[in-house]
Amino acid sequence: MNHAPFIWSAYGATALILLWTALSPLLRARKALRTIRLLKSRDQTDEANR
Amino acid sequence: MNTRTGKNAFVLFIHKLGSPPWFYQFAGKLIPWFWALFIVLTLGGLYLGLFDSPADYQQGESVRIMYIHVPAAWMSMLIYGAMAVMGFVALVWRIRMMEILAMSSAPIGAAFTLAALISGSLWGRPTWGTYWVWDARLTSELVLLFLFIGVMALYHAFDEPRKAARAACLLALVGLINLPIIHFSVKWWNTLHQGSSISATGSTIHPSMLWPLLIMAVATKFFYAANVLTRARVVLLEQDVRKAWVQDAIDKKTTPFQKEDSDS
Repeated sequence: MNHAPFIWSAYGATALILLWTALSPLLRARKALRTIRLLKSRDQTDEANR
Repeated sequence: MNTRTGKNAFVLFIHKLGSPPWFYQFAGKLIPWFWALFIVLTLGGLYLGLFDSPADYQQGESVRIMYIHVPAAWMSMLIYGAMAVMGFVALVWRIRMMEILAMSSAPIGAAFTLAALISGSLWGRPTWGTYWVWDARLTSELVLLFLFIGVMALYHAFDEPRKAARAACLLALVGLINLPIIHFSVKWWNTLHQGSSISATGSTIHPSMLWPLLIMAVATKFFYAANVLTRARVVLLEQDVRKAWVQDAIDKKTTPFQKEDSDS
């Protein structure tokens, strides 16, 4: 039996799982930073209008 | 005197860790180093495991799956244990950072468990002749995956994050019973899965295979450390979105993945 497909599938699946685990918080951080900047600009606009 | 000073410094460090702004900065300094160590060790471990170590006399080339399967399986148990310990501390002393770290550990633990199950299954086909059997080791590892998913689901089932974390930490503690079951399953039952090749008394693995395995095992620790700190920083940003320290951190143009420029 040729073992190569099993070896590369195992490495590929593990790499994909770990890559997603590493990258998913970055996407959440981008969203959080966008929200923080939006709230800050709103606060500044409100202060300027007062 | 020195012991007392050292103890005081440690207590002060623990207190500081409980402060979100301090933790945010401190974690930001560690994360790049942890990622760098993970990458260097992984590249070294993979080179040794895939190109420099021999094929096994019984398993053939499929033994190379061991270099990711075993570290992933170890991490699945270690992360569950760490999550339960942090959950216990969070429940007893009500430390918010511990709740956040415990809950940030769950998705990483689930990822390692899934990686261990998939890589193990792909190793089982050429070695055992089947992808899956309802063997004690395999089944208890699958239960571990469900426990991680259960903790994550319970955490996201509440609107109030601290209440959610307390409920999920309690579930994590209850699930701790599964860890000795996984570990001793190969001794307590007749299983298809082989027994441990590495123990406190030594190893039956040849050094040419043991080194890449140990290097990969250390590398995955750094992956966990970098990832859990990154996740905890993101949770802090999300939860403290209206707090002044978050605004300050953003003004310094620091993201959860960048090193802080100053110690202020």
